[in-house]
Amino acid sequence: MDCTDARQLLPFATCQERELDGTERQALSAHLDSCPECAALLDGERAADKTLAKAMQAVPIPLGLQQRLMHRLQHSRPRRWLAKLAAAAAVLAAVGLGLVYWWPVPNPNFDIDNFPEVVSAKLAASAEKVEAEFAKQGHVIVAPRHFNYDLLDSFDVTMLQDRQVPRLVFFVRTGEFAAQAQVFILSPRNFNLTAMPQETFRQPTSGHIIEVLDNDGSGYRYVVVYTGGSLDPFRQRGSI
Amino acid sequence: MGRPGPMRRIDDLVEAYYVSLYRYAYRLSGAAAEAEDLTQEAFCQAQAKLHQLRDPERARGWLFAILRNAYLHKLRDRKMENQISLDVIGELPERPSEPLPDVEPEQLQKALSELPEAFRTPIILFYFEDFSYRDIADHMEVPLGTVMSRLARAKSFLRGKLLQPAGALSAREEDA
Repeated sequence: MDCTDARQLLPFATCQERELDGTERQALSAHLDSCPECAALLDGERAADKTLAKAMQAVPIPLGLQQRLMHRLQHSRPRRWLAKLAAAAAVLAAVGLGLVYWWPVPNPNFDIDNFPEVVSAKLAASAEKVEAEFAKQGHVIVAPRHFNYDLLDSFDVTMLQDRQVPRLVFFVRTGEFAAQAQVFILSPRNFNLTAMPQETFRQPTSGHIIEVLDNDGSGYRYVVVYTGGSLDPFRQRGSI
Repeated sequence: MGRPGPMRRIDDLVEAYYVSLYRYAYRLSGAAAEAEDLTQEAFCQAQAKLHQLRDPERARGWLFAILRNAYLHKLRDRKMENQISLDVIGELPERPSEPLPDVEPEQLQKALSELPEAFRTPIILFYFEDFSYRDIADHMEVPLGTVMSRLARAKSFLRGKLLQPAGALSAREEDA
């Protein structure tokens, strides 16, 4: 083993020697026996680790912390007897007054057998084909014509503001440049789009740009969330 | 005797891990009150999701992940930007460094607070709780190589800061 290889293993030999297998440990040990420089590096690392570990672990624990934690946990959990009493009172009220009472529904089991089929984007390399694929799943849409569907990476239906919204994801990579555009297809059947302005703005946290596009005559709007600074790489050649 | 119910299990988790979880929270946040809030938040979430913990052996990693996510959530909400750039944090030197004197915990915390969270978490976990490199990589959901690199750079940064004489300018003050 030479110094280059030994120094790559040094971090594993400071206080985590179990992370080296037997062969590596032996080879490293043999090298350190014959290389004062590497041995000195390891000694220095171990000493620094010991000092930093001691300081890192010196955190005073507040008095009564465990009791406060337990107290708050106990009070954040609903009492079983109170929940049963409330349930009984609700049933009595419903029976007595003939009212229907909303009962909290437990979360459903996830049904892996009915997981929706993932359709390859390669089957839908045009707006018309995308519309046909969505129609098979019961979603009638008008897909945007502005985009280059050779760049379509995937499409699905997602939830947006409590509505099912078809979504197209385009991805472009040219050399070092890579960008993604997600197109949310808003239908006038699901949203009131008449007052929706066509605008462009940047999300303050992520830096993604959001642009609202129109499809003249269809009533649809397309909300496009993209990276890369411009929609031009995603556009069909010749489109505006 | 029947199987312990969920409440007894959260009792067990608190007893077993509240100290290490609080220490982690303290080193992440740098403040006792916030550390206690984060610890409380972590245990409350753990109580609500106890059914997800199928292997008790994984409880520690699970709790630490919950706490870290709670901390990151707070950071995003507050848009905290008082850490130095990742570019300033250099590589580990190839020759032995000057020996570190004994470090005051407050001095360490000040230096830690200047590290971005992505570098602070691995070095905190490395120095206590016996987290292996693999444990840290799993916790942060990054490759092992990334953990090694960040650890090396964070150590180098801390060493540089802790070897400075008391009252020396911070990196940000020097840049001003």
